[in-house]
Amino acid sequence: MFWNIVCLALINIKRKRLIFINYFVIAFFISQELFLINISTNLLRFPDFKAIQAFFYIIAFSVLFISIILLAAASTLFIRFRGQELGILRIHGVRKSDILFLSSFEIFFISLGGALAGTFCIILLILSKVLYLPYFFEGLKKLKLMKLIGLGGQTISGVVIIELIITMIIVSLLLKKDIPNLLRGSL
Amino acid sequence: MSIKVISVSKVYPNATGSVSSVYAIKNINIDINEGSYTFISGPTGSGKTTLLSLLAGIIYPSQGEIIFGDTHFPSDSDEKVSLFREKYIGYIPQNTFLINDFTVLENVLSPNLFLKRRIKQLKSSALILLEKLGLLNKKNANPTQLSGGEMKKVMIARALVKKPLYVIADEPFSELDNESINVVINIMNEEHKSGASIIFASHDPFTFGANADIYTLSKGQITEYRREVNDEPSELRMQA
Repeated sequence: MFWNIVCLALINIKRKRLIFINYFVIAFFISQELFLINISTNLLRFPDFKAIQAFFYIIAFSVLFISIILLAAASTLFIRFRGQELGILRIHGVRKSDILFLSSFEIFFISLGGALAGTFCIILLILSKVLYLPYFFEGLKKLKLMKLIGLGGQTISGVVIIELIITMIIVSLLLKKDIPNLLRGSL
Repeated sequence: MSIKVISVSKVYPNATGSVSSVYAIKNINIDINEGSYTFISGPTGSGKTTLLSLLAGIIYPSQGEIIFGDTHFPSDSDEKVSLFREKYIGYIPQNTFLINDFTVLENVLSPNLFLKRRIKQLKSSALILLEKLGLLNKKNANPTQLSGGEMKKVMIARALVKKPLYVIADEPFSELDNESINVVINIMNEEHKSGASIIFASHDPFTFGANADIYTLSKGQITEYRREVNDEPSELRMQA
């Protein structure tokens, strides 16, 4: 059953690209902001950099906050578009926990993809000096590869956890609706 | 195991969210035995769909109780009622509900992927059913490419593929031509012979063999009950 659900999650992502693209894009942006926050915390430690660090924090946290609101909206749309499908599954005895399990796999895969792409892009932007800050660049040069991978991993897992938590809250709230309402899509 | 419906009433909330005083069904008492044929008739708005949805555990009663073995609803958890639907119920809704992103075969299989059964086994059962229903050549088609009758047949295959103990069908013959109706009737008779109970609501006239329970609903209440008994084998036929 576990592998059936994993396969179904991957098929759903492939077939419902238009719905899942939202999650990819949001994960892409959240990962960039989280990476900036992580790297600012690690590289801009000296008192001289306090102002720059604060500037980065404000920008990154603002974008992060907006992205999380967008994520909640995307999750509501996600359920609204898929209400009938979830209703069909529920009619045939699929439990709410199984639907949460399926949704979590879908979100895990898509947010992992978005976060990987986003983190990779922001590292490229910093290295190519598009997002140029000498402190960053100098700091990055001194940064060991393992530390960089660690920061990337921290960012990616952060994004996946944020997307999973918000989506699961919205999906479980909306699954409280009864089956006829899910089938009608009246949420 | 039988499904016991004890003094069940259902009231729906109105558009403002407050519970209306109009009963969809009121004080219904029915016993549906394993291996029986049950036919629910009645005019539009008499409560047939509500009664079938209650029997399938899709909606819960506002008053009264439905008992199946050790499952009681509304008092049992959603988890337990879902398990009841998964293990014992094959429900065919009146309206067409298919997943448009999936092929016909995937639509038949998808709700059953969560069952602890081998997908290979389910797939072969699905293909046999699709062949009987004349849809084997459309197994890879998208539901949007099907006619209304074909969509109905896909829903019938989806409900029957897991070999449920109770087949609950709401107007299963709507949108079907006479030839297709006969095919569906034959499939239902086969299910019945293999031990399944068939419960369905329909406007169409049918005759029954032995052990058919016929309930007539009007304004949410059972106004007539009769049991058709004769020497012929227990099977469903269209009335001449």
